[in-house]
Amino acid sequence: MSFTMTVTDVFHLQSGYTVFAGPIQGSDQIVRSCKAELFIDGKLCQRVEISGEFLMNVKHPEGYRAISTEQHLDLTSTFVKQHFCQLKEIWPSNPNK
Amino acid sequence: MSFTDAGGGGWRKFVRGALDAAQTVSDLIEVSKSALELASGSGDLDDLVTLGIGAAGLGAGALPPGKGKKVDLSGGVGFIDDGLTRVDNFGQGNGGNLLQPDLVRGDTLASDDLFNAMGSRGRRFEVAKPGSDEERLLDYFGANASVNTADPSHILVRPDARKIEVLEEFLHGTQLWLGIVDRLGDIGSEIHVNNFMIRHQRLLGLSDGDVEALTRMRNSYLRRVNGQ
Repeated sequence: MSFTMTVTDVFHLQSGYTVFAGPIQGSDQIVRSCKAELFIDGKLCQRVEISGEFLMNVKHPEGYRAISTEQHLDLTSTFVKQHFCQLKEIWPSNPNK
Repeated sequence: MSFTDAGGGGWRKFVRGALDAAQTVSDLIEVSKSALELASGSGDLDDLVTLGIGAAGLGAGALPPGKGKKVDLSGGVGFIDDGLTRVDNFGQGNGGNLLQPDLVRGDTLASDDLFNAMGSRGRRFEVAKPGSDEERLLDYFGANASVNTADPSHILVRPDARKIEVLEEFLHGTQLWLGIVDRLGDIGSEIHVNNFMIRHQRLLGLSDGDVEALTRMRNSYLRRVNGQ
């Protein structure tokens, strides 16, 4: 089953990862390497290679999760909060599913 | 020491004896390099993780209970109704999530020896500096540490990382490599690690405060699983 994340914030780490945070619908499984499409205000913006998930030692009270890409993205925290951003997995992109 | 003839059903006993006999961190690492190879075909994941801990020399590399640098928990510990995030008297993170209190972080700071022991096992630590996006990410989740499934050797911690946080993320990395996280899921693997660490308090050199914190976290996950 493919997932859709509503992106509520974005973080650019020194290690090169960009991390998307937000609620995920469609799958309870740990997100692994896969392809996804980034939609901004309902419009397809670009394809994103998802590298995996950051597992936090404390879980968000509303079940938000953190998935990452090593791709360079010009997406800021401010922009994400001003627009409706979604990541939709292109399925089947993960051969393990 | 040679471990090449320790295969078959008796490998666990053999390795445990060797671990007991080990005198130094180097001995432990040497024992467990072979132990992991021997255990890899056993399918006994819990034992495999146990031996992984011995392999890294983490118990010996960490400060023993009562001698580690302690965190003062005397002030500001509020009412806990969840064990993880629902705590009064603590500040709010940028995402509106309550920051995790010291009471469930354990009372022993991670030592340089522990970081070095893990570094020698291939782990890389990214410290969330004040004002960085790393710090903002941890704040957003009210978390203090994270491991990356894309690269389980990559661990994100705060500057005041606790011993149990570092050990937990190390073990999650081991779980990821062994497929345990995919099998048990996020919460299930947290419970698995918490149970493991509580059970092996002495091996890991954890204080009673550390174990109390782990127990609170484990119980909160169990309540979540049980829908309470």
